[in-house]
Parts: sequence; C-alpha cells; structure tokens
Amino acid sequence: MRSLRPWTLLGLLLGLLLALLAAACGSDSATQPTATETASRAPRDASIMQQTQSQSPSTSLSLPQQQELSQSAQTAPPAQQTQQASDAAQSLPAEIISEPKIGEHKSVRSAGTSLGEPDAPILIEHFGDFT
Amino acid sequence: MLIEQYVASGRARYEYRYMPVLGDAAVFAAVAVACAGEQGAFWPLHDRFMLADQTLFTEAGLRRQVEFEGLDYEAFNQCLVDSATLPLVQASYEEGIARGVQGTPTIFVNHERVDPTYEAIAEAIEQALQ
Repeated sequence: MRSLRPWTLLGLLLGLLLALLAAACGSDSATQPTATETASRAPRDASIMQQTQSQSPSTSLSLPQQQELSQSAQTAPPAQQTQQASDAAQSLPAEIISEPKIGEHKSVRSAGTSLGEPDAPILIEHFGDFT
Repeated sequence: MLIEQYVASGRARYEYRYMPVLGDAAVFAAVAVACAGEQGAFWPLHDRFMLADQTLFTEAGLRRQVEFEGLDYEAFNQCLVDSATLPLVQASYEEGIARGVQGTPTIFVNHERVDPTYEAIAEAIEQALQ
C-alpha cells in the first residue's frame, strides 16, 4: 500500500476544515433573518398589534377597570376567562368610575348613608345586603 | 329612578341600612363599605359592591378601588383589620331585626314597610305626599 505524501495529507485536512467552515456558515444564515426578511415582517407585526387593539372594547377603560379585567383573566380558569372578562366589563359601567367621588352621589346631596335633603318630608329606608 | 324622581327633587330622603343576612361575605362587605364611609366615601364603595364586583372580595381588588376613590388605604385596611365599623353594622342589623326585617331588600317609606318594587315604593311615596 502506497503511503500518502505529507502535502497531500495537508491538503486533505485543509479541505475538510473548509468544508466544516462552510457548513457552519450555512446554518447561521438559516437562523438569522436577512434585513429584507426583518423589514417584511415588521408590517405584519404592526398589523397583528392593530388587530389586537381593534378587538378591545370601543370605550376606553380607565386604569382600575383594566387592572380588574387583567386580574380576572389571570386568576380565572382558562375556559371561563372570556366569559368573566365580558361579565367584568359589563359590571363596570362608566358612570360609576367617572362619578364624583367623596360627598356627592349622582348629583344628590349625601351624608353618611343618606341621600337627599335632611328635611325632606318622605323617608325611604332600604335594608340591604351587598352580596 | 326613585332617586332622580323623589330624592333629587327634595321630596324624599333615602337611607341605606346595613342588613348583612347572607353570611360572612355580606358582613365583610358591610364592614368594608362602612370603613369607606368613615372616610366619607360610603356611596362609591356601596355602588361598587352593589354591582356584585367579585374583585372587591380580594385584597388587591379592594385596594385598587379604595385607592382609586382617593382614600387612605392604610387607614381603611386598619379599619377592616380592627372591624372598627362592625358595631355600626351590628346596630343597623339589630334595628332591622327589631323592625321585622327578615330578608333583603326590605324597604320602608315613612316607617311603613312596602314591597321592594318601583311601583309599590312610588305609590307609597305619592300617598304620603298627599
């Protein structure tokens, strides 16, 4: 059997090395998007964002409402999330959130648990429960 | 509608009485609303609880609402922890029992019990105004 000359052996090794390098470069180009690919994906991402925003209720929610809906969604079982978020949105009418706060109630004088003028001729008493 | 029709016009005064007949959650809600009342914010919390907003039965949900109403949450929470308003709620409850209240809602117009419907209440008011 004829032995390989040193130059021939060196040449084979260099060839093998080049082949390995070429393979490595090929795999990089497969995972990293080109500038063109990135640019073409951006409008699609923006479109998805717009689609998500358009699915939100048309009336803007205030921060507490958003937080409540978020919390309901986080704590609810997945199957009930949609229904609960819908229910929560229905249970938070805007007039409550935007209502005047302390000392006023729907533009009627309030004091403690009373509404209306103290000397009004009629007294309506409501024994109620919050649950 | 009754509020707009009779209370806002100055012909009637409306008073809410605590009557927590439906268990611990009802007592908690009444105490919490009364604690808000201690800071002058009975009605905002009353309205929120009346909407059956279940997030108010969580610490985070209640805190968000209390802070949204501009209340001092630490003072509110201390009031809750101490059940500081429980005697107020208890007194209201006992008054209800003494007056024969067995369920909610129960409505009195000038101390006369009426059915808790708009028609019955309006009729009682109109009669009392004559």
